[in-house]
Amino acid sequence: MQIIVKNIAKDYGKRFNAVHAIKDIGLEVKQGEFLGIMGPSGAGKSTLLNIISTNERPDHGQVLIDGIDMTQLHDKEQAKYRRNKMGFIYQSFELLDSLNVKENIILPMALNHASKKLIEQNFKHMIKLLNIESLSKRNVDDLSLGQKQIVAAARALINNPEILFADEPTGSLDSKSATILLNYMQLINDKEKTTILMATHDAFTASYCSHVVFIKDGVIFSEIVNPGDRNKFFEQIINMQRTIGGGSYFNVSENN
Amino acid sequence: MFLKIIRRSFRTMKDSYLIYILACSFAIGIFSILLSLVDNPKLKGDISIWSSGIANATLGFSVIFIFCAFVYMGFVGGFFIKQQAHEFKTFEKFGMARWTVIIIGFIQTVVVQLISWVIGVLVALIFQKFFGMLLLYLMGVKFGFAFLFTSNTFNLLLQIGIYSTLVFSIMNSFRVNRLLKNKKNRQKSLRLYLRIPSGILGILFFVSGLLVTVIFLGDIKGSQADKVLWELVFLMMAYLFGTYLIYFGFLPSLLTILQHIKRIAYTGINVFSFKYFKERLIRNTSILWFITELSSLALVLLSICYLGYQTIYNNYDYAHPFELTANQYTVKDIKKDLKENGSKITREYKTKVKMTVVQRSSNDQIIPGTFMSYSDYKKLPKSNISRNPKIGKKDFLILDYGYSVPGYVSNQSKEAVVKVKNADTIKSNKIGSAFPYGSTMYQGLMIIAPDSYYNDLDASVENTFYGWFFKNGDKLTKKQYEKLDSQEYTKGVSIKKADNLDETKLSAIDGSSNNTGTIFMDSSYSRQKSAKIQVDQITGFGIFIVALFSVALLIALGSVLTLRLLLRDDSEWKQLKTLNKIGVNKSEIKEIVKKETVYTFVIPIVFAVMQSYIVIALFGSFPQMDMLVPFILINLGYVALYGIIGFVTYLISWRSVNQKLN
Ligand SMILES: Nc1ncnc2c1ncn2[C@@H]1O[C@H](COP(=O)(O)OP(=O)(O)OP(=O)(O)O)[C@@H](O)[C@H]1O
Ligand SMILES: [Mg+2]
Repeated sequence: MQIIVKNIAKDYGKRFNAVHAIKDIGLEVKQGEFLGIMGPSGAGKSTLLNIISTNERPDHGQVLIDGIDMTQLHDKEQAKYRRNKMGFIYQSFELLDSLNVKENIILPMALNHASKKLIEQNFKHMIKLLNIESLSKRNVDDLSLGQKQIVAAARALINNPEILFADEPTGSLDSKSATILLNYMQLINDKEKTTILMATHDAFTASYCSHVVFIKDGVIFSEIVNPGDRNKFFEQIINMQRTIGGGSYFNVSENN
Repeated sequence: MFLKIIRRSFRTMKDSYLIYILACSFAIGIFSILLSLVDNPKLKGDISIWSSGIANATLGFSVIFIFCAFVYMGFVGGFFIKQQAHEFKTFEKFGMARWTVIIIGFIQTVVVQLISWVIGVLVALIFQKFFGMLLLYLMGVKFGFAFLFTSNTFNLLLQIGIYSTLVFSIMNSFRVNRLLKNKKNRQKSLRLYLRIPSGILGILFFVSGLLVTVIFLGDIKGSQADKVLWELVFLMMAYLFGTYLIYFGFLPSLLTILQHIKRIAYTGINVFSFKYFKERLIRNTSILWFITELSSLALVLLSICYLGYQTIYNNYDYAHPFELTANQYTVKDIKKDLKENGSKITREYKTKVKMTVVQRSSNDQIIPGTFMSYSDYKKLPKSNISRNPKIGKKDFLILDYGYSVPGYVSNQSKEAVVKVKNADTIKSNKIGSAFPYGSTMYQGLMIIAPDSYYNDLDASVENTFYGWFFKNGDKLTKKQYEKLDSQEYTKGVSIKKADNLDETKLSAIDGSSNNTGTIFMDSSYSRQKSAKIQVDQITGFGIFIVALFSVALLIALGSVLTLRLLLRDDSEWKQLKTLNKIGVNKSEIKEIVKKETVYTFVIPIVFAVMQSYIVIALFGSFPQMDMLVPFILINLGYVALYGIIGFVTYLISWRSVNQKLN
């Protein structure tokens, strides 16, 4: 799974009060890479992830996944691609409140018509791993934000996706759950060569990545590669955040 | 502040409000028109049956109409309050006093209701002339319709409008209050322990309803009036409760069971759709129920209207097989008149008959019998006798008026036995009721006898019947017609009973002479045209009313279901969007919308059709009219129209979902 993003741009809204969410971004993500995307609020992180994951179409530019231009595919083929190869942890979770936890988690497998046995097996594995066995029969509506987030993560991971899109996956989690989740993400990234794209404000979370890009006002500002030492990488990220004047410590950027 | 909130709510729900206001003003408009027609002096003066019955019928229909419209308003008006539940609760959370929120709900309803009334009355003012002319055209009356709206009507409308607006607004205030009291934002919980028993009870009720319909069919044929009434009450209860309980209990339980069968539930989109359908079903239970009962009521009423029309038409047809008929007492005058007017006779018939005393064995009644010979009978026009059973040279045919009267049939054996004075008793299984010269021309039985029997019969009274067909009508003037009219029922026969039939005497009488014994008067003539006008008027009126009600019903049903499907709340929208985000493609979501629409429309119509089967039982007492085919046609027509509404709703619903997904 190699992802190449070429000169994409995206505006929201009508001519006069248009928001240039993404002005011009180009990227290359290799198979098995764990890419972090950082930047102040409103920088366009979620928009970028949505475009790469075909949830939204860019106004300009191309998104090539394994050489296929995703922007040229029909809705139906895009949906098929999303369903078969991708997993999502959305910033707003996007859980179905009419379903209970279990049904939410197994939904991607059921959609792929997996066998009942396999579904149950993967489900057991997943809830054990993420430590949410006690939640399985609960109603999604009643969960706390952190619980919702971990359920959303379980749903994204149950299908063993080839590409995982994670938008603030640890934003609402306590440090223990966050560590569990991030370790698991790192594990599948190592073992299964899952490509991961993760947007985050949090330097600690970002330090798990192999590679972090910083975006600001819809363009790539800079890029840091993990030197192999997580503490050092963490320092570098904090410094970069200071330079940009955003991120988790100075979250209020001047143009928002 | 108030106004701003109210204005905003109108803006955000403008499509739904538009549909609702249009439906309401249509209903109000039609009601106003009907009401104004009742009061129209021109109709009273110029149409004789208007004041004698149709005016009251119109008033009755308008009351039924506005009653239905009120039920609709009371019911659908609540949708809008429910839709704003979230906002109202937020207002209260922000510290707005409860009564302030209630007043907002109240004012909203007042505004909507008043707008509907104003538009409705305007519609009535504009279209009254059109509907009046349509009515007169359908009734075949040829004079212009003048616009008229009496102050009487207007006052009545004003009062009804104001009171109903107040009532509905107060109703909605209560709704808001209940909503705010209900602190928990939870959807109705499933409560399976309640739903499973009630589902079973519902099925029991409904099935017993179906069974009782069959019993009912038997009892109504046996004319057991008191039993029939109880059964009817039971049927109504069983169907009303049964259907509701099925919707409330059985269907959600069924979906729950399906949802627990993992092999079905865990494949594809089913994981989601079962729960989604269930949620929607639980939320729409009372609407589905309402639609079901309304539909079956409509089917029953339409069938009854058709039956009424058939009865009138049949009577008319039986009474007037010729354009004009006469007997020996009136023929001279009529012939003279026809000659004077230069009427063009196309066909002319004349038959001699003999009258004597007969006794109907089924009830031992002694009545006059009119005999016609087989060869004379055969000379009559085919159209006049084709409804009677076919007979051969040697057969007797017994024509009995009562044969088409309900209740008579049950004790009618397959074979009729008639004793004849001084002649052989007649036994025959050929029984009919199409009298060759029209049923009003004689009293008692008419018997077509083999020539030899006829010739040997000694008649107490003889008569000759005449029948004519014309080109361009009989051209009788009003004066001539009035003269004929005064001769009607002045001649006839009387029977003086004795100990046995052979001594019983039958003699011709004149209206003036004083008679003893039982008297039977004939109409002496019959004219198709005069009856035709009335039949046309009644039929035209019927078509007018039925058409109005059908259109209104379609609008009501269509708008209720469409509104219900359109008014998805936020969480429902979000779910469809979320599905799309995690890789469910649009055609699958379209499939969900389609299935949802299909279920919403198909379930009520299936139950409605099953319930309307009760009509067949009612028709059981009119065996000579084949109502099965018309009944099926009415059902099919209804289902087809309903299907079209369903399809349009599906298109609108999908369009709105599709827009939100992009
Ligand atoms: N659907 C939309 N309609 C209009 N504007 C939008 C929409 N989605 C995003 N935007 C705008 O595009 C810009 C980028 O938004 P985006 O959600 O990508 O930011 P982000 O980097 O994810 O921020 P955060 O850190 O808060 O998640 C913002 O200015 C936002 O207001
Ligand atoms: Mg974001």
